[in-house]
Amino acid sequence: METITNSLQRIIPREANGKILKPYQGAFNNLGGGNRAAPPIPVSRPARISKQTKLCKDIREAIEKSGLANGDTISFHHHLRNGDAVVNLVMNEIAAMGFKDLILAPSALFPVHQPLIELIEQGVIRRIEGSMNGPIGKFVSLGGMLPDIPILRSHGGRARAIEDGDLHIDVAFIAAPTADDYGNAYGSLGKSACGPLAYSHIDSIYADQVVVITDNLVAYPCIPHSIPATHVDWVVNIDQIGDADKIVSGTTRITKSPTRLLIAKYAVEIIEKSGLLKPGFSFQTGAGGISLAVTKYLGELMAEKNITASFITGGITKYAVDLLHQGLVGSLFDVQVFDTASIQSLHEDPAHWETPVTYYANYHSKGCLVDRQDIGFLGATEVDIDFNVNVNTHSDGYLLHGIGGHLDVAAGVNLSMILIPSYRKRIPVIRDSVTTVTAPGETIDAIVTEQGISFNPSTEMGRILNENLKNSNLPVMSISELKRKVENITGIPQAPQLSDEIIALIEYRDGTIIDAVRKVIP
Amino acid sequence: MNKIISKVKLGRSSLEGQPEKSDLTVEVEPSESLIININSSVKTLYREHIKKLVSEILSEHQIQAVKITINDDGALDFTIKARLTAALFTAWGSSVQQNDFSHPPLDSISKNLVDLKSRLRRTRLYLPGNNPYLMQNAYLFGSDALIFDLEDSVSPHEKLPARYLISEALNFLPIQDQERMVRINPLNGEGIQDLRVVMKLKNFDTVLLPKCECREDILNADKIISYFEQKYNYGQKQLALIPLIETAKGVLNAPQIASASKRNVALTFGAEDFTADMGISRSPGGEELQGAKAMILLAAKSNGLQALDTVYSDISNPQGLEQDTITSKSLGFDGRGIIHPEQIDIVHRVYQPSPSEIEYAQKVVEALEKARAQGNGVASLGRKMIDAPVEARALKILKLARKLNLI
Repeated sequence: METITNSLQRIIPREANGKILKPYQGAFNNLGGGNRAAPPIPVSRPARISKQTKLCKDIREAIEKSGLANGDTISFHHHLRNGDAVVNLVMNEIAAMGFKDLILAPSALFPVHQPLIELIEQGVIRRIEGSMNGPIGKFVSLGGMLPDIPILRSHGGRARAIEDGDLHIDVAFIAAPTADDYGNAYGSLGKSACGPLAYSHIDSIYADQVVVITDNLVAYPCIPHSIPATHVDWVVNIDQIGDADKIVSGTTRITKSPTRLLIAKYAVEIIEKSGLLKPGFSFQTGAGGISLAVTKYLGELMAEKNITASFITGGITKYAVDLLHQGLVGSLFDVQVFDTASIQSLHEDPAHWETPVTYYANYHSKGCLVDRQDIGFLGATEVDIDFNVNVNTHSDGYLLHGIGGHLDVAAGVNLSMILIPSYRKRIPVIRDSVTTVTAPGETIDAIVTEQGISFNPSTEMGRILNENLKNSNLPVMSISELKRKVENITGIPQAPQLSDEIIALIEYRDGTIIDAVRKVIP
Repeated sequence: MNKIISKVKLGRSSLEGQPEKSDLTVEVEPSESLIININSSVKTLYREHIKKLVSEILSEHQIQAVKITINDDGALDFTIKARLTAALFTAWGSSVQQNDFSHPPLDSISKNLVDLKSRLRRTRLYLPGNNPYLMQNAYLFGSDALIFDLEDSVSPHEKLPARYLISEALNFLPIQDQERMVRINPLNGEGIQDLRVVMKLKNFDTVLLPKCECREDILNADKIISYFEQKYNYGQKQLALIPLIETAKGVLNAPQIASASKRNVALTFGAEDFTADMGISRSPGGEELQGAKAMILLAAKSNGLQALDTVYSDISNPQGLEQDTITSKSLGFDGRGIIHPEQIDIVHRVYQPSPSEIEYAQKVVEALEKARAQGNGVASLGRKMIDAPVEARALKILKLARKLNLI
């Protein structure tokens, strides 16, 4: 395979899957230009003439009517998370109908989708573009998808790829907790309610064919709705689109781990002293243990100082909803929700707004939400002394996680903080060089661990924080010092055995390739 | 070493035999040659490291032929070392030594013990002695002291591995300004073995002695500690002692306990055992404990010792902890035991001198200095006369404020 080196000195292939790749050249270089892709003009089906209905009797009929062909690209959203039944139902039907060589372009996959491995082995699916984690990631790490090379994208990067025409979707299947027979679809009502349908909004606009699959068919018109009937070709009503208990949790709970709580406290203290904590500021929340704790502590600090935030972007949980209800934040931008309280709020609170992903994070839009956001709290599997962040692979080389909105948020916000325990199962998170670069160091301002805090000397915010906090009680140190400190506890790990063979690509939000993932030798 | 006499398996594991998080199981078996098997959730990155560590420990003990099977879930080196050492000692069998403890108790105290007397002890975090996962980061949460517990939180069959784990943890963890305490078992039980192992590495400050009931208990402890200090060449370093009073008899004898040894730096109260001994249950307000607490406070303060309160065991009730600590402080206690890191900040906040307290204390000291400069023995502030107790209280507040970087 012919390779080239990108600006982070990562070796990537010159081409993959029959396309010439663009090497990463810096976080803010590939600005766009040219024309967007465009969906086909629908062939009009006026009811007055054809009497045709969009409602299909089952999934098979919808697949037939969509005109799916071998080699096509199909998409799904992941709002139903590990409770999703739709991906497996549709893919099994597609396999039963004898289709081959499909490209799957989900916004994310979960452990519940492990049966897809069998379909990859059978040749029904030839490639995944989007996100991979858990069992499928492990399968891919061992070379299971070769000779095709899957491409991982962030949420914003996926929206960009669709709009720019890098990812053309033939048929989008959209699981909808509520829909009418004309295709108006809504996420916050119904027995399988999941909140927004934000990830699939872009699919509904750009895919050639759009199939809505619901288990709560309501009388026309379904109002309010997230996906309008004008985007939808076919509708299927089935018994169950998912397992409600696994779609959202009844309550989201904050971590009880004292180590994680300590990291959250450090993060809030940094925010307090960063100069960003002022009326009208904004931040990102999530459902991760540390992030939830930060939301809670930050809310308490805001209440104490009588400071109101203008908006929260998320990853919405009850903790963010509470801040809205207490008047401590003006509005919630909601890309996904994690608990029932948040779904209810999304349905009822006017200031809680379902946010299409392209609005949220698309770099090739005319300005996206993350660019207006002050603070983002992010995770990592590894970081390195250049502040590059890995969220995809573990230190042993296995590709086990998708990107989510990580690198979009890191690039957009004024202060991006990586909040992580300094080691997991004795494996240190700070390395000389990360196994895989997901987010480039130039977009990361701070690394916060229980053992110490490092600010990036090459970002403006990193330098400001260093100046403001070097004499505080916080354990601020250089990243090399922090690395040494952690290694004194964990010992230095030996290098894992990785082959040169490339099994996946990490695409940056601008469509360039930031890194390639190597095959693991087990 | 002698010949191996028994097959041994050590370390915390689940019912299915899987090691607990950050822990490992070690199996030692007789063998004609050296066999080391390592199964680990981090083996891709740490197999060689672990193998090297095991070989080093074996050669330290001059063991050439043995079969070692390790099942690890990301344990740090100190845990691996502790588990292996404990397993080797058990496998080889060690005869319990009989010692003559007719060593005199401490008669003059060294500088390190003087320093220990005035340590800040607002919070002492209890750590179960056989759980490496809970120990690893405990020093990061800012309690004034850490208690590595060998008594109630360790089941009888885990006492031996726990001793080695605590020794290695104290040796390994970069604990800086916190007082390192070990709560041993009563000396009529496992306590002597506890001291024999944990005192060897000379890396802690204070012995917490449970179920103290009379003067002789303390004298006995003092002698045994003195014996091991000499045996292990402690030199000028002297261990402090904190008697734990948790029975009706102990409460009645608190004055004798407090004055029994120069090693004593504080008396502490244990409410759980005390209420059990009294045959009563603990109420939210703790009215049933008032008599015992008063006795311990008087005994401690009249002997120049700190008085430390019992733990607040409901970790889900921060408001209750705060209220209880406010009361505890107002009675005269200098701190309390805690069982979860989330309790630390709450207790420290209660013990923190308020800005108005600090300001008043500064005024008191200024007024006195001024008066003394003018040759007056007494001073007044506003319409209040400043006498010796007022001055003492002000100095105490300022000392604490300085220690906490508030001034």
